[in-house]
Amino acid sequence: MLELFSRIGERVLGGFYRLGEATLLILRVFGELPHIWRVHRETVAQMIRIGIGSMPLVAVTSLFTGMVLAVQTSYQIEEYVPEIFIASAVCKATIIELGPVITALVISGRVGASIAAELGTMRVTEQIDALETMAVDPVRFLLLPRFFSGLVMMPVIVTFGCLIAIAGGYAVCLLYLEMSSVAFFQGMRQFVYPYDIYSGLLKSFIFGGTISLVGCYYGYCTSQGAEGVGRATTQSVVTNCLLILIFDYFLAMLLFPTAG
Amino acid sequence: MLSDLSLSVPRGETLVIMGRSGAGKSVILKHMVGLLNPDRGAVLFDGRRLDRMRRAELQQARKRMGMLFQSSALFDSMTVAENVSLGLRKHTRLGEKEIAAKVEAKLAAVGLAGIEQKMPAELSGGMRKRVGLARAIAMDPELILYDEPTTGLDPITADAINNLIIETRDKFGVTSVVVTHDVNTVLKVGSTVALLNEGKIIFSGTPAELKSTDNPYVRQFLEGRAEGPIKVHF
Repeated sequence: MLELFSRIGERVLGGFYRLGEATLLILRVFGELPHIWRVHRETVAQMIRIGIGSMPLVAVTSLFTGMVLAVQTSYQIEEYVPEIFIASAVCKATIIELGPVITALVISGRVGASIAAELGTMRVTEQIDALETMAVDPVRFLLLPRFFSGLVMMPVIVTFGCLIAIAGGYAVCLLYLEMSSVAFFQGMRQFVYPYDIYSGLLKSFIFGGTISLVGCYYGYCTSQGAEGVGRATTQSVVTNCLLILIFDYFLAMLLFPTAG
Repeated sequence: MLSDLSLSVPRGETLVIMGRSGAGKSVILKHMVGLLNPDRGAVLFDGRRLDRMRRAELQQARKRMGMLFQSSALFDSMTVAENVSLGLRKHTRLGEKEIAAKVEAKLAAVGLAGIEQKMPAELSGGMRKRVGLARAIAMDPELILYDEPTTGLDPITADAINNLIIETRDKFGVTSVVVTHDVNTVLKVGSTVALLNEGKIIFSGTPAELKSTDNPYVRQFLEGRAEGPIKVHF
């Protein structure tokens, strides 16, 4: 019995320790933000890697998301609702919800995991120690460019993904549901407001920051060799998926209060 | 892990710390470069407390040091030239041409001229060590720390690395600290030798004294015997 309690205590204390460690690291990354111009070279490289590198994968996932959205919406509303609302539903759901969230989940698997694995490998092979001994701050040199790139590239990726998803929905409406182009664009214009676009972009901005910071934290604080790198990678993906869905709920409550 | 430890290296000399794997040798080096801080006691660099320095001061001190890691710790996403030039790029205002010239000179100094554009993954273990050394001396440091410079190398390459350590000392007048369990390195490069066992220094002297001493710990280490006062635990 006593052993059980001491084990629970250990887990709780360990959890608090990690939370404190993560908070301190995140504060350090924020503190370095004014120095971003000193690592512009690394930042541009990361922006290309995170942004451009993710485009093909996001294109495919978004295309199918948009297509399935059109099919499902038409099935759900059947004959009772005018068909232009299918277009409204596809575009609106993509912009405020599915675009940012599905893209974020895909990116957390691709980018978050690769940041964690790369930094984790650098930690266990002493490359981060080597940076320290060369008086190069690893937080500024490694973490800052990744965080900043995640932050600014995510809205770009999500915008791109939304366009592809809407194109997919449009294709299904046109070819499979035999809707007219005019009806589709009418439905889109009628119910999609600029506010939807801003809130979708705000979401993706927050998700982008979260994904890169979580990847950075697990990678930077890796220990215990190859096994540790594997663990850091998995944990970064699991944590990111949980955080994205949890944040998404609270953002929805904040941004669309009538829904609550 | 370490206790009762007192070591000092006069400017321009080479201190070799030897001991078995896991005796705490790397831990000593990590204290010397400020990667670890002692629970008690002090680390002094050029008369100043390294373990009490603020981050900015510590960075200034580290610019005067170079470290060669046991695993070389080359940045594997960068070319050899980028590895060697990173410190110069971050801490000096040299132009591209001057940096390229400096990289070329440092690579030539370790006998690896012309491999600037190779990636670390394309190099052999001995070449990685030498690139690591070129990177460590790129900023013309006053103190170089070597963590197991010859471990995992064939005896000929190992001896070449020993020669490089001596050349670097003579050419650039640097102070060196070498951590190793390689007896040849100990005898060849050291001006002072310390033997570390269970976190304590149990012998300290010149290589000549080391060879002639009848200290049973030293004899066991030099002769490489499992039986003796140093206990082997499995």
